Amino acid sequence: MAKIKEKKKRFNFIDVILLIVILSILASLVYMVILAYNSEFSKNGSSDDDIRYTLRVEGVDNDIMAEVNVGDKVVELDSFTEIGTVAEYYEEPSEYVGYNSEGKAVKSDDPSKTDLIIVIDASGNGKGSTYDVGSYTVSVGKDIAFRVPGFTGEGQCVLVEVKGDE
Amino acid sequence: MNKIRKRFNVIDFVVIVIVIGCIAGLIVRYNIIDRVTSAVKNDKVSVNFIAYKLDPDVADSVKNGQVYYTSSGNISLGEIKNISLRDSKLVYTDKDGKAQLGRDNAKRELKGSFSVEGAVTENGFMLDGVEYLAPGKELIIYSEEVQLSVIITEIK
Repeated sequence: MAKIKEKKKRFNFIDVILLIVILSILASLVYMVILAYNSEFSKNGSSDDDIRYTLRVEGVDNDIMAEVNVGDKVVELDSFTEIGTVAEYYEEPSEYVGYNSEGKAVKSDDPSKTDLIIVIDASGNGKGSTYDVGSYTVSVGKDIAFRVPGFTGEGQCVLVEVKGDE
Repeated sequence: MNKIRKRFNVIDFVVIVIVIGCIAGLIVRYNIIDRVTSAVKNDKVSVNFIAYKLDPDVADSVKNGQVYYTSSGNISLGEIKNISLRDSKLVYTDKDGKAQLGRDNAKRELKGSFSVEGAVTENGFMLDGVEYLAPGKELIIYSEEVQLSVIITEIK
């Protein structure tokens, strides 16, 4: 009978790579669980609220034919996260501050630019003026780069409120 | 000689789940399904653009028929068309401090268009299945002759 040599399994390079990948994924999962737990604990919210927030896009040149429609999905550009649906849209002339011959500041409409005001409905978890819409945080003062099918730009969040509290 | 039977064990299962999870994550993260299905469609649109405050020599070197590409992705936009030049817009303050619209004859404003193919989707127009374009988008485009920074004004 032939001697059956037992093949000794060596711990090799592939096993090391595999181990590193598995440990990294486990570490990420643990981190995400801790993050989610802290987020729930600090915000004291267990279910999503229907929120409405307003983006103001200042100084859009009048040559740009922005088309924003109620019902358009709004997508944030850095994270590709859908951050709500357009509920209202309107335009206002951009403000221009000049100085008269007496050196006093004078406000007037900028004849070359328009401000776009986009009101967005979304579901989020949070409180006050900061909400997580999916994986993206919306808060008053934050600049948000976004697109809808007919326009792309950057606006500042100027208002966040829970629907029903308006 | 005994055959070594390989058993499907827990480690194998974990590896398969991880690989499938990574692939699914990539698909969702980069909207791959939308891009793949969009790449199949061939909608033709006209993309209008404007370039502001160009040096007159730069503006004069742009001619109808030149072929342009996007600098991000090197996507061909085809031949530039319908070029029009005028003095750049200028907002100035009158004696009362109010804004007035004038023209700066030291700089040029260039308008033009490209006819391109892509997919008109519910999320907007996707050029060549790779890049979403919409009014307001800033692009750097280049040809053999010149490089321009333009803003898309209309897609129709």
